[in-house]
Amino acid sequence: MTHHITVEMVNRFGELARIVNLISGRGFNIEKLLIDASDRPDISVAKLSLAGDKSKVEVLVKQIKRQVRVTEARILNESEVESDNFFSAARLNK
Amino acid sequence: MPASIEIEQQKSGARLFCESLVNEGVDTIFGYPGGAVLHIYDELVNFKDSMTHILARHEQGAVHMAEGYAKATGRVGVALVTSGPGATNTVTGLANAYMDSTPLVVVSGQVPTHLIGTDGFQEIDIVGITRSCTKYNYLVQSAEEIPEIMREAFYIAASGRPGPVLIDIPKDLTAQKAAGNLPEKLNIPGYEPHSYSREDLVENAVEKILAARSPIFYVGGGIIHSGGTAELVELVERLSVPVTITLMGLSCFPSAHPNSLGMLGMHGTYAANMAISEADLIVAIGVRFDDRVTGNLKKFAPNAEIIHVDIDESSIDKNVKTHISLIGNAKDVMRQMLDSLSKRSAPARERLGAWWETIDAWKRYAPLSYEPHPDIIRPQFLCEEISRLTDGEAIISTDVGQHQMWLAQYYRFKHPRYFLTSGGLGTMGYGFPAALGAKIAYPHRQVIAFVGDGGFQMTMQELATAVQYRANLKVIVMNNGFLGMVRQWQEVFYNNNYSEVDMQIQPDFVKLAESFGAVGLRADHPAKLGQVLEEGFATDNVVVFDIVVSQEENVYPMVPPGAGLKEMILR
Repeated sequence: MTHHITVEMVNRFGELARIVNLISGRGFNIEKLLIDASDRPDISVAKLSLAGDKSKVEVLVKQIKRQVRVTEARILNESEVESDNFFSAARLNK
Repeated sequence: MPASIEIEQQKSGARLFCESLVNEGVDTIFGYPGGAVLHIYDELVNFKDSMTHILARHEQGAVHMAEGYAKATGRVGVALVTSGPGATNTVTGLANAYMDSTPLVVVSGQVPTHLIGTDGFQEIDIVGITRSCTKYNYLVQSAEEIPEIMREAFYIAASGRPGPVLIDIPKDLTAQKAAGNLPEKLNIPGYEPHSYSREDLVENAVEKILAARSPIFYVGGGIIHSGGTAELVELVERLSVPVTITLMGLSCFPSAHPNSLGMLGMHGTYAANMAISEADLIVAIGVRFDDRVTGNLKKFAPNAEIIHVDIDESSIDKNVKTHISLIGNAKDVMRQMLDSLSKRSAPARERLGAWWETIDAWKRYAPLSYEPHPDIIRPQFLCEEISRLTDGEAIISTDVGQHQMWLAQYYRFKHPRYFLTSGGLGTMGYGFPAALGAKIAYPHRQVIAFVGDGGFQMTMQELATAVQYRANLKVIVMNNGFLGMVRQWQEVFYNNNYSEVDMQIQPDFVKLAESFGAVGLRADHPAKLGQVLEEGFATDNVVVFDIVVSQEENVYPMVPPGAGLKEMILR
C-alpha cells in the first residue's frame, strides 16, 4: 500500500539527506518526492510517497520525527491526500 | 572600533575549538593526530592545564575509550581524529555508541574547503558515511560557526536519548580567524527532549500496577542514563514487584536484591523468562524490546498488558504494542509514579503472594548452574571468582560473546555505571579500550576489562596507551582458543560443523603484556585462579591475565533463535 507523508525540517543542507538515508536504509523506495520552502523561511517541507506495510511505515515516520531538526512528520489521511495538489496531481499522472 | 583591532580580537578556528572544549567542561580527549587536524593539535598544547589528551594507537580505540569514559562518568566522551582513514576508523565506535545511547562528540578533520569534492588526499565524506550511526552530524562551513556548533553538539549528545554527534571541520577553517560569538540561547527547531510524562497517564499506569496479580518490572539502560537507580529501588520495594534487567541495565539494580530475577532474554535466567512470559502486566522502563530480549515476538508475553516508559517516542510500539506509553525521562517518570503512590494507601505485599510463590518455584527449579571441574577452570567459575574478589566494587567492561553472557549471569552488580558492555552493536574489541577510558576517568578505582581471546586481539594495541598513561587497569582474557559464541551456535544449530572458529594460533598473552611493559600472569588451574587474580589485582601496573578455561563450554540457558522465551534449552 502507498503511504503519503509530509516532513517539515530545518531548511539547511544535509537535513533531507538524513531523512532519505533513513528511508532507503530500511529498503523503502521513494516513489514521489517534492521539497520546497514553507511559509517560514527556516523550515522546508518535503512530501513523499512510498509503498510498504502500514505498521512499518508508522515506525519509520516516528524515526523520521525523532531526527534532531525535524519539526513534524506524519502520514496523511485520505482526504488530506485528495486536497493536496502535489499528491493528487501525482495520482492523475499515474 | 578600527578594523585592525577587531581582527586582533579574532581567534583561529583551532583556538575557538579548544576554548569550546574548555567551556563544555571537557578534561580528557582521546585522539590521534594527522594532517587535517594539525592546526588543532598545535593549539592543543596551550590547553595542557585544562585538558589531557590521551594518544590512542588506533582511532577505533580512541572512540571506544571515549565511550568507556562517558559510560562510567555519565559525561560526554570526546574523541579527535584526522580526515580520511582517521575518520572512517571511528565508524564502529560511533555505531556502537549510537546503539547503546552513549553521549559522544567525535571531531574529525576534513580536507580544506576548496578540496572538498575533488577526491583530495585523505578526503572522505564522513558526514555522509555516519548519517545512519550518529544522533546528528555537522560539516562546519566557517570558523565563526565553531563555538555554536560545539555547544549544540554537546547538548544534543547528552540530552534526551543520549547518542554520538560527529563534527567534521575542514582544515582551512581551523586556521581561519573569527570572533566566534555564541548566541545567548541555542535554537534547535524540532528538538525538545521530554522529561515528565502526562500526569493522567501516570495515574492510569499506577492503578494498573496496583490491580495486577502477576506484574513484573522489565528495566534497562534508560535507568542508568537518567540516574534513576534510587527511584527504581524505592518503587520496586514499595510495590513488592519482581524485576528483570536487560544486559544494558544490569548495573542499575543490585544483583543481590531479593526482588531481582536477573537478566532476561536469550541467555536470561529461567525465572526471569518464565515470569515475563506469564506476567499479566509488564512495566517496561528505559528498554526497547530488543530481539535478544523478546525472542519470538508472536510468543512474547501473550497475557500481559504493557506499560512502556521511554524517552524516545520511536521506541514505543516499535516491536511490541503497548497499552499505556509514558514518554519521558525514566527517573522523572518513576518519581511521578512514587508521588502518585504516596497519595494512596500502601499496597500490601500479600496481594502478590501467589505470584511470588510461583516465581520462587521457578528460581528453585532451574537456578543458574554449571558443573565444576577439579582441574579445568570453568568460565562460569572465573566470573564467580572475579565477582567474589572485587565484591562488585570494580568497574567491569566486556566485549561481546560467551564471556559477556557469563559475566552478565554470574557477576553480582552493586553500583550503576560499573558495567560497560557492547550491547546493541555487539562489538568485539570494545571491552579493553572502553575499560581504559573508564580507568582514565577514575584512576583510583579498580577497573577490569573482561574479554575473550578473539576480541582482545582486535584492539590489544591499546596496551601501549594504557602503559603510557599508567592507567593500571586489569585485562582478564578468558582464553578458550575459540570464537566461543560462534562455535556454540555451530555446535547447537549447525551439527558441530566448526567453520573458522579455531583461534588456537594466538600470541603468548603473558609475553605480549611484558613486551608492552605491562605485567602478564597466567592461570590454568582452578586451585590457583583466586591467588593469581588477587596477585594481579594488587599489582600497581597494567596486568594482562591469560586465564585458560574449558574450551567447549556453552552458555545456558539459551533461547534458540525464533523460539519463544519459555522454550529455553536449560543445559
